[in-house]
Amino acid sequence: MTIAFTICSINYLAQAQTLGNSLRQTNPGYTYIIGLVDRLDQANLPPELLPDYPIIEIDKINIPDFSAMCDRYDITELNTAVKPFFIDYFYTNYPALEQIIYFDPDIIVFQPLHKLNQDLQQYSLVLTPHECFPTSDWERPNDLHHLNTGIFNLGFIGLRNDDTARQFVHWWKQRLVHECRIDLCNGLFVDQLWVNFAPVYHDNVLVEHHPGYNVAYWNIHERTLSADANGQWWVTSLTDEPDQLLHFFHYSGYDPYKPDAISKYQTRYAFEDRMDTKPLFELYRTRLLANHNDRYRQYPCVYVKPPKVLRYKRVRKALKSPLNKLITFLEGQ
Amino acid sequence: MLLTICTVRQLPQAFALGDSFRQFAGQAATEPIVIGLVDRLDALPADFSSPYPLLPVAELLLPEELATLSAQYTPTEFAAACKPLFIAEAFRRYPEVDNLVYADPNVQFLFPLTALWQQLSTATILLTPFITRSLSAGEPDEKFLQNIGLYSADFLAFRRSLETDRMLSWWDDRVRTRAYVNFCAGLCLDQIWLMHVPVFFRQTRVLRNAGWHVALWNLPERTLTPEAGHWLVSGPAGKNEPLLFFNFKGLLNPNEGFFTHQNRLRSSEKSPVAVLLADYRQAVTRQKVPVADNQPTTYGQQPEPPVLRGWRYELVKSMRSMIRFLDRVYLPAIR
Repeated sequence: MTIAFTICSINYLAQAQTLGNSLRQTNPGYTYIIGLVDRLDQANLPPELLPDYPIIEIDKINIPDFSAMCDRYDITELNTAVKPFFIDYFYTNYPALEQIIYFDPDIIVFQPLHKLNQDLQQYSLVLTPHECFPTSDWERPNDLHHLNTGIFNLGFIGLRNDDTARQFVHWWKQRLVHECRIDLCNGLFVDQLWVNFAPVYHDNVLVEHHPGYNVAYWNIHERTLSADANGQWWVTSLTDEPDQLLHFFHYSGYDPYKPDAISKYQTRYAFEDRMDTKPLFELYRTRLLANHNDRYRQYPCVYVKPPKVLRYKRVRKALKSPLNKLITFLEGQ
Repeated sequence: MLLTICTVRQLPQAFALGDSFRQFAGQAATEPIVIGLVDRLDALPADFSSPYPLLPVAELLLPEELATLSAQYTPTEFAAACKPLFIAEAFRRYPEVDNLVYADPNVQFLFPLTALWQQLSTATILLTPFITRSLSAGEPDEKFLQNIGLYSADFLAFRRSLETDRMLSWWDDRVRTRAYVNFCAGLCLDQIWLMHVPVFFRQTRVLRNAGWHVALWNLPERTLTPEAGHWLVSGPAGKNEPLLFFNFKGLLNPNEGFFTHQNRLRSSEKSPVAVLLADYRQAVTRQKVPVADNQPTTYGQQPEPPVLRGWRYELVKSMRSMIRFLDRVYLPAIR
């Protein structure tokens, strides 16, 4: 049994539905599950907005002291922190489980993932690096950004159901209970940066260089896309190897209401520079809108807290000032 | 060949490293042993003759660039910024050399390097991780390694190849101007850039072997046992492997390196580490170099960050956590 799953809140169900439909078409053998960081009983979705796929709500998977985690984290941190907890839940509750594949909701799968399934018979983990070739300019994102936020993109991970993968998931879970924050100065960037350790702690990790995996704004500097007469998408990479089929595309930071921007997180390309990718984004936009994106996005997530306002900045500064002076003095000794 | 990079003050360690390499590299692979000097030659007495060729950094960089880099960096950052350049230059100057080992002057080789040459026959770049198993509670914690990079830049090995050339030119391009230690900006010397290397350069191999690069930071996960004439190491990735090389950074000089406040390793007088360190001290003091211990370095005009000890360290640490608290604590509005 292979489980493919995603994690999102109700406002992203159009994406999760789009991903699910693409999997149903390309990989009908997978069991697709939506992990929901939200509560259906509070949202009261009309029947036509209930996805066709099984949904498991985050409060149902027995995360120890989940409410404390909710207090600690903002919505981005919380959504990423629960990833290994879902994986562990699947390991525990599906005895026939052989492989688990996580996809971010903003992904479309274009091909049967035979290579991945085959690799997961041999490797415990499959990871995709953000980039396989260096960037040649300092636009965003570049080689430096990935040093702070992680070599691998955790919008995708493949795991086998074996001791090594379970050991890794256990360790990952422990880290994310308290340290799934964004705090670059202290070596933290949600769940993603931690995964740098995976190939250092474990032998059996495949770092996948296939150019058709996890194509996104962070690696299109090294990949060109094209469609053939049958409508199949192909990826040309910087290697001498022949073109490869596009396996899955990750529309990270794309907003269907701002269809002229590839991603809000990147500055390298406008669509004029990358007309090769334009049809893929148009396809995505059409699918999202057809899957009721307009309606889902109106639902606020129950786990979102009002943003913390840091009041009394002057008082804080005044209290810190003598401490800072004393530190400077002690370090100057 | 062997390449190291050091200041004049570190020459005794560099010579000890050279001697150990000469002893264990195997005849065919030994020469040359080159010392890249991030210092000025005239800091040495005119009649001093070095047992190994010295390659001063002034031969690699134009005076203006040398002055710019020196002004912007600390001595540690400066040496890191020049490392890829030194390695590329060593390959250029010694065209007959195929395999190049870079080692920090704190390293000592302790066993025939057959396994190293064997690895290099099927890989182009060799890296060693700081640790190979999750850390137990203590200082520094696991996430600190993300700040400094998971692979140590104190040992690298290269086979002459197109891939090595590509790596060195990429690395030099990144490191020359971005060798600062600035964790918030994702920077840490030449070292953190190595995080990309196993992905960008496909013939790279990461050696997790227990006997490679044993040091202060990974001793808590490894055990050393004496064997006739050498040491055996057991660790998460292997049992009873010969100790190939040891890095004394932070052991010989506790204020050096990124593990100045580590509290996992507490070595007693008779521990294997103490024995190794005593032997190493002897190997270093045996070197006759007419320079003072406090000889100032020429390049890197920014001050190194201070290393505090005792009550000063504890006080600063608790004040920093108070500052963090003051930055974050929620204060309700008073109406």
